[in-house]
Amino acid sequence: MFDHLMRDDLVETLCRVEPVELLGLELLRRLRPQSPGWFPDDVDINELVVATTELVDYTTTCRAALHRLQKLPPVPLTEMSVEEFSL
Amino acid sequence: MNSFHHLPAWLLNALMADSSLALAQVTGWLDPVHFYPEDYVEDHYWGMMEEDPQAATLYALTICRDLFPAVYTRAVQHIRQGASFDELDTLICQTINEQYPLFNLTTIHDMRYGIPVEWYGIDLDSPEMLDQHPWAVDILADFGAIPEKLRGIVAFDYDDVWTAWQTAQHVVRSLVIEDRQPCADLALLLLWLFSSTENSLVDHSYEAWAEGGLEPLEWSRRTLIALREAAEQAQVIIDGALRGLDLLLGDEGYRAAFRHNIRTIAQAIQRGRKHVRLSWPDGPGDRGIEDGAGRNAEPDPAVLLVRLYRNEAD
Repeated sequence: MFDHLMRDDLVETLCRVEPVELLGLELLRRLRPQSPGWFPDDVDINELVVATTELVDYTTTCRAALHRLQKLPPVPLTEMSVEEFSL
Repeated sequence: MNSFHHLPAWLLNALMADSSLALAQVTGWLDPVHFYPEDYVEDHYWGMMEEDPQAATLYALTICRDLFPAVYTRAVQHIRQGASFDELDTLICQTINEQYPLFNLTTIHDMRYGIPVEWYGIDLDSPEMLDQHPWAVDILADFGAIPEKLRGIVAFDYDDVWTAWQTAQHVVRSLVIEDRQPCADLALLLLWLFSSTENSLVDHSYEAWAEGGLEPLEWSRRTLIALREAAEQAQVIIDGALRGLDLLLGDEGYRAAFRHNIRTIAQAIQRGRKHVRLSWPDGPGDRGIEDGAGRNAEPDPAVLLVRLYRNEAD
């Protein structure tokens, strides 16, 4: 499935991933227009707990994925000969 | 002019239309600690003075973010609403203590010293023990261990305590084999007294733990789970031991049987006998089945716990 996938293809694939619909985003979209401040201030605390927990889990997962991508091991190209370096 | 008035709404819509900017906003709203890298939090805390409220708050929020999401959410919203440090301190400590009743967190300044659990251990070699646990002196006297004045300090002699433990081990073994109450409570009392329950919270005092060079209990999910189990077991041990203590201090007949059995064991050890059968009376509230007494069908936590020591006793 991932044969011949190059770096640019990987970036393009990741960019095409649909944004996750987080409860915090939904709350912000729905409640901010009714709020006088920058952030909504009259939100049910239990709903906020769920939204915060989901957001922390999501960003933690994203950070872990980022670390994994940064440390991808090199792939040896056994079938390619590089004539310039032949002895 | 109209365009200028509509600018904020347009700007907000534009921010929310972009997935990265929208995520940044919601993170700033709900999870501001996300923007402080872990290294910064550590440096910020350890680089500041011990009583610095800002450093303590940031450190506490970092811990709550990882382990207590509900506390973290409430704390962030309180800060946004302008709560003072004292209000925040009270909120965090109270909420965590409610979730973990065996914690005794009094201020978030103390969170740097690890998870604040209750330590129940009795340091028999500590002179302060005589004042802290006068009942222990009373029980140890039954085993022949009496505090002595050495170099101006009244304390137990180590050899006396060691000899007492040699006898007590046989007593515990006998009590465990009985597999009933109040023997289980008495076994737990002796195991607590001699720091031999194999539960760290019961076998160590805070001073012994800290002076022993052992690390503070780190704020991690794994430690919390282990501590919760240890604390639940510690509660069973302490509850049982205190019932056993009440029995020994309040029932002269039972105390006489206890002392008699100790003497029997001590004599057997002197004579080199390995097997001695001891007789343990029922507790004052017990009646025999032959009397038509209804026994409690619920398993007794102390008896169940003491069975863990049964393999050693066998």
